[in-house]
Amino acid sequence: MAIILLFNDPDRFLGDEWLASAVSIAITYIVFIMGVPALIFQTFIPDALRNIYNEKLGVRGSRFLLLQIILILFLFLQSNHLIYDLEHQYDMPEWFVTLFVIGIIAAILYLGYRYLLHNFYSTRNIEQQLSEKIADDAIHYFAEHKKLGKKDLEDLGLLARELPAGRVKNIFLEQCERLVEYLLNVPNKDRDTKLIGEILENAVCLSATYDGAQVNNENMRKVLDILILTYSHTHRNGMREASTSYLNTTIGNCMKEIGIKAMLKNDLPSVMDAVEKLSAIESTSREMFVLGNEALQHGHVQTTVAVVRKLGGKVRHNTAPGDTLSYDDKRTYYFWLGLVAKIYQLRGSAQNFAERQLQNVVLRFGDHRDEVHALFEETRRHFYHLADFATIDAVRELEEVLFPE
Amino acid sequence: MIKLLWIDDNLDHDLTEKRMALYMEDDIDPHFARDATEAYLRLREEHFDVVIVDLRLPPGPDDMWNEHRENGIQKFGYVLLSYVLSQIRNDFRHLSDTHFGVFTIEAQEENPELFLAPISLPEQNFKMKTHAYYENAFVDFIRNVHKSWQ
Repeated sequence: MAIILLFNDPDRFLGDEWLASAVSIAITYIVFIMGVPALIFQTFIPDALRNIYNEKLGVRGSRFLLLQIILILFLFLQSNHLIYDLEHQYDMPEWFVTLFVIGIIAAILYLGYRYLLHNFYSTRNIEQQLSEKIADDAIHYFAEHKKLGKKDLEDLGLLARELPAGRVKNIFLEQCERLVEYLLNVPNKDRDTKLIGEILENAVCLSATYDGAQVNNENMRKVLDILILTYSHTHRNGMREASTSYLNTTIGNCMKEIGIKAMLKNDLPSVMDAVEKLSAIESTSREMFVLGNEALQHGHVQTTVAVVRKLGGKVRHNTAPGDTLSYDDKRTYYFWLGLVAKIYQLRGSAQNFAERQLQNVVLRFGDHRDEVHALFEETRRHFYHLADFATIDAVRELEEVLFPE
Repeated sequence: MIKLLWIDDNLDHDLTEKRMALYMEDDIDPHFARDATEAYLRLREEHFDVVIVDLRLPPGPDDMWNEHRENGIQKFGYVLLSYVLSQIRNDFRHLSDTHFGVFTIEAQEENPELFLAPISLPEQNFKMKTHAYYENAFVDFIRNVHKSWQ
């Protein structure tokens, strides 16, 4: 079309008026191209994400605008007499000038079309791009400074809270997983479990447990998968005990929170998944007790039964009459006994279940009756320190039933 | 006490009752995994007396399954079993006295490779999932797998 216009009227060929029209049309076109996505962006993207987008990816839009302005400037200059005279003075062939002008017009149209298509791609794409960009930036920053940028951590936390449930959040979680895997695989001397813990706590876990966060079953499962993968990695590679202890606490606490959140949403599969994964982690008897106790209070007895069996498995695994138990094993015992006592309070068939659990474990002490009494006594003292008076009463009640003398 | 690992992605759907039944059995200490990655991580670290595997299992997030994933393999339960049992003298030495069983929707005739090396599954350790397969029968199946020779 432009070629026909240019060659059918040689007198006005590349005349001032024609070029001025071309410039004004180009400017209108650019305003449209830039304006429509901006309008959509303002309407459909939440404020918080908009700010991150402008910081992380907004530079693309400004580069595009700059390029278009430069192209329009060329067209505008071409319409000036001075430039026209200059071209004649240097015997510049007209076909070259024509091609130059057509090239600029084509570039403006094509780039505008690509920009519009890119921006229309979907709002989901913006969130995906943001997740990828933040993870990439965090990895680059760590490669250079051996630590994570504060801004990247804040942005991850913001996305964790703001992103909608479902696929979009899972894409974000996959990027977090990529970042965590990268940090787990760096050489030992550069590895910082504190950083990994921060990402798990402030991004991965927060995406499921934050009060206002939108989260579904699929997202909770993904978070649990990331947590257990991190635990397995640190466990397998025999990282320093102090640092893994910090990570275990973070992971255990997060799993417990997810379990409780899922319970409040009546999402039993996710709760059971949390119990299963929590039980695979060392030193998480307190978290398991909290989860089991919370389940009992909300009427999810099946979850409590699963927790009792898991804790019972650990207790059985650890004890034999006369054994000296480690502090951690004793805690497992206390929490297990506390939960069994709570189930016993439910009366009816629940008492049968509680009695069977006790038979399986406590009665293994056989003639060591004094050890059993000591265990009950220590359990009460343990819960007294936690100010958990309800559990103390439950344990005392159970002891009085078992040993009426 | 039989320490059991049951690997199945349907644990939270049509198998919830069987799962709960296992928690209620005094002689079984049940543990569960939903995909090949989760199962692999558990098996590498822990000893189990009995491992029950579903053949049609999702791979899970680990990259170690990528090659099979690209080849369009769906039976990651089979891949997992082959992997573990072929490494039974090395990385999985602690599972040398573990009894493996298969509980799957497929028929025995569809999976002749299960009964060949490296898996060499005893025929009695294979059970097909059917709607009429009750909780008690399943618990008995686990006890029988535990007693089986392998």
